[in-house]
Amino acid sequence: MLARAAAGDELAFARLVAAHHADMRRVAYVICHDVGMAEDACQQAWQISVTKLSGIREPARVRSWLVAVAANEARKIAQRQRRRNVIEARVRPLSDSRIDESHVIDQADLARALARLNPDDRMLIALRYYADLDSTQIAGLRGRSASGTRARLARILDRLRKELEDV
Amino acid sequence: MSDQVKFEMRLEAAVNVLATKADGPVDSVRIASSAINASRNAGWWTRLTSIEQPQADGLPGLSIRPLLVTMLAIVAIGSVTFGISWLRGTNVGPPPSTATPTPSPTDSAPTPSDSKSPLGPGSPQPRPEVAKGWPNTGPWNPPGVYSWDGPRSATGRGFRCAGGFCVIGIMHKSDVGIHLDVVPEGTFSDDGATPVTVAGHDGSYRQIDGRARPPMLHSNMTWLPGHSPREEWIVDIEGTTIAIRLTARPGASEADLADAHAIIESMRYEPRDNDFGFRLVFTLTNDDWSSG
Repeated sequence: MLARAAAGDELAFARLVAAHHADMRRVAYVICHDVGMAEDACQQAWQISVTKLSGIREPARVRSWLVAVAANEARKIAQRQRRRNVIEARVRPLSDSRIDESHVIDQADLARALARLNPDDRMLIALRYYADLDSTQIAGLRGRSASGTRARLARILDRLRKELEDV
Repeated sequence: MSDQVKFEMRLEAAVNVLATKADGPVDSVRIASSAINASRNAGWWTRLTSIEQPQADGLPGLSIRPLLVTMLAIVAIGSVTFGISWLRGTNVGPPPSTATPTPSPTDSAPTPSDSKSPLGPGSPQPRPEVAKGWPNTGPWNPPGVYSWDGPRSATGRGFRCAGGFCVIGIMHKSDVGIHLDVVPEGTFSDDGATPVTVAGHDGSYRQIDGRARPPMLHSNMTWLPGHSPREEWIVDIEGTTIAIRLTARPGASEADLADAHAIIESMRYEPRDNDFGFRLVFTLTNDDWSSG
């Protein structure tokens, strides 16, 4: 499927979208906190992917690669948004009735704590804890060192832990 | 199970729940037709070179692409070499034995000066200059490439923290100075700032009223004696917000200010295994700068 999609087969590409789009959008959402922006990030990610799919030689890596591309696009969108200094006043409360209230970390608290991180750090959290990539994989996809990525994740975790456990 | 691991498990669960808020129907993904066409045009190459063996027993898939590329490169280089030789009328075959003098024991090896000839085949390739770290406190730091490696530099010099703000690099030349601070996000003002690129990253620049010190600095100790802040660059690099400030005494010369600007403009980003994951490398073009 990957080779056919890379060669421009639209049906194969549609299957690829069906298999991975939801994951990409979820990762992008953790970074952007906005469904519309997450969708834009995914659209942009697919646009990039269609020209670069042929470079992936190991089909097993396609998910992590696609998710990382979407995460990077989401990071860029979130960064642009942050520079505009937009303050969004929510009409609806942050809590959602579909979410299990007994969950250990309150969703509203998590959303607030993540929003205080910069988009780059949110991307690391999304790739580590949603996409389930380890530090070495994240570092490889971002062209960074594994030890640097580990150290940075540890710093972000410390910060989140302090913020979430002090609530 | 440690508290850290428990927290990570809770965080993972919470992030997964949060991510589901993005769920919804996907009607279509819009891809520009030019991208599809480009992909199709690239298809013959993909089909030719992506003959992969199926992944088995945890071994990575093999591809013949590297082999093909290498073979094509060898053929291309060989063709070009042969073509050049032919055009020059050089005999590409082995030279006739009569033209080759018999080597004598005295001329068997090239002299060291031969091998170091700049035009010779054995001439060493120029290597990039190694960054010297942060300039020394003493004078006469020679011109060259230096770096700011964050608070945990090998020497530990130039690191000072006050009230959560770290002045981790100060250097000066006569009446001008350059400060590098790590500042918490949200503690600086964007008033009057214009977008710029610093060390390859998006940042902002503004001129500061020399009489008013930026509000985030807690102590006058962070400024060089008699200096006032003049200009400020704020740049976010991998989540670390860095403030670069140019300070000057009244009457600082244009040449010194231009020298400081040149240093800031020369700053470039390098990934690094340190606390920040990167360092800033810059060039001093004279030996007037000092961190003391």
